[in-house]
Amino acid sequence: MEATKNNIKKLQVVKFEVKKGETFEFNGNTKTEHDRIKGIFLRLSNSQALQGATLRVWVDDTEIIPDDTEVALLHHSDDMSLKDVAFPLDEKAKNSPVRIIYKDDSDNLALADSYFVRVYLLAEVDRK
Amino acid sequence: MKRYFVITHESKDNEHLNVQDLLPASCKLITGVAVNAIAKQDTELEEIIEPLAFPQALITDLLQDESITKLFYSYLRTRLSEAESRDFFESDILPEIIRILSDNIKYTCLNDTEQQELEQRIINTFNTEFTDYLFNEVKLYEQGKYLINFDFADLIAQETLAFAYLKREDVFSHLQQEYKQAKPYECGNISLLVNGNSFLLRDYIVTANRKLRHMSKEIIPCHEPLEVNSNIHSVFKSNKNSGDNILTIRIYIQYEHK
Repeated sequence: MEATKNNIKKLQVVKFEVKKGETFEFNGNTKTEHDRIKGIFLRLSNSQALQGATLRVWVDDTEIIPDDTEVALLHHSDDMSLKDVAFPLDEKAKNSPVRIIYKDDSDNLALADSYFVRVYLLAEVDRK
Repeated sequence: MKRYFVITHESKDNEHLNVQDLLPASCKLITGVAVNAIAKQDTELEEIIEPLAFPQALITDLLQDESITKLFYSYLRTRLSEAESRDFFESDILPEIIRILSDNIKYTCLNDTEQQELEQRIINTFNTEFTDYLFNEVKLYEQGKYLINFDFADLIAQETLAFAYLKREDVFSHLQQEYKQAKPYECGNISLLVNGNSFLLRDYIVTANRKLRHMSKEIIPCHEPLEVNSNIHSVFKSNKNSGDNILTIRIYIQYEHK
C-alpha cells in the first residue's frame, strides 16, 4: 500500500452484527475530516464464520470490492501486520458514502446465532 | 489502481465445467488471477482441550497474603526434623497455599461449574503431589536451614509457581466445543483462457476448503492486454473427489483500472 508521505494516517471503524445465514447491508459515510481512504480490512469476532462469507463494498459510489468476493481475502489474521493486510484503495473520503453488503454463509456451521464484523477503513488527512 | 472482477461457478455431482464469461469493458489489462474452491459441508462439533493462560501472578498472590507469610515464620520455629517439618507443612501451610490459589485463580471464560472443576483440580494436584515435590525434588528441608524468613517464603512461592507450571497441562485447561472445519482436498484442475487462445492458467490444481490467505498473497501475477469485449473461458475438470458436495469455484481477475 502506497502511503503518501507526510500525510496523517487515521482509522475509521464500522461495526455491525451479522446473524447466521443472513445478509447485512450497511450504509454510512466516511468522516468529513478524512481526505482519502487508502485501504480496507476486516476482522470477525468469530473467525470460524469466515468460510463462504462474501461481501461487496462501495466507497464514494465506486464499487471497490465486487460482488461475491470472499471475506477471507480481506480478513486480518493475527499473524499479519496491518501494512500487509490492508486491501489498497485510493478513494475520496470527506463524507462520501460507504455501502457494504455482507452475506453470511455459516448456516451449516455450529456457531452462535450472531457475530460481529468490524470493517476498518484506513484514511489519510492531508497535512496543511 | 487495481480492480477486481469475480466469476463464480458451481459444480454439482462432480461435473466438469466449460463456461464462457464476458470481462468488464473497463478491463484492458489483466495483472493477476486467483482461484478458490469451497465445498459446503454440514459438519459436527467436537470437544477439544483448550489450554488456559498460565496465571503468572499467583506468586504475588501468595506473598501478599499475611496469613501465609506468618505461617512461613512459624514453620521456621518448628523444623526440628524433616518428618516433623513435612507434617507441619501438610497440616498448616499446604491448605493455605491451596486456599489462596483456588480463591485467586479465576478465569472469566469459565462458567461456574468449570471454575469449580478447576478449583478441584488445583486442590487435588497440590494435595497429592506438591509435598513430595517440595521435600524430595526441591529439598526444602535442607535448603530451609540456611534461609532467612523472607528468602524462605520467596523460595516456597517460587517453587509453587514452578510446580504449577509443570502441571499446567493437567490443571490449567478446559474442554471446549469447536466446529470441525472441513478438511482440504484436491478437487480437480482448472484452465483459464482469454478469448479462447491465451492461457492465464493451465491445468492449475484446485484445492477445496483450503485456508484462504490475504488477496495480495493469493493473486498469481500475469500480464495480459485485452481488447474490448474480451471473454474468459473457464475449463474445470473434476477429479471426482467431491462426492455429493456442491463445489463453488470463485475466480478473481485483477485488472488495471485507470
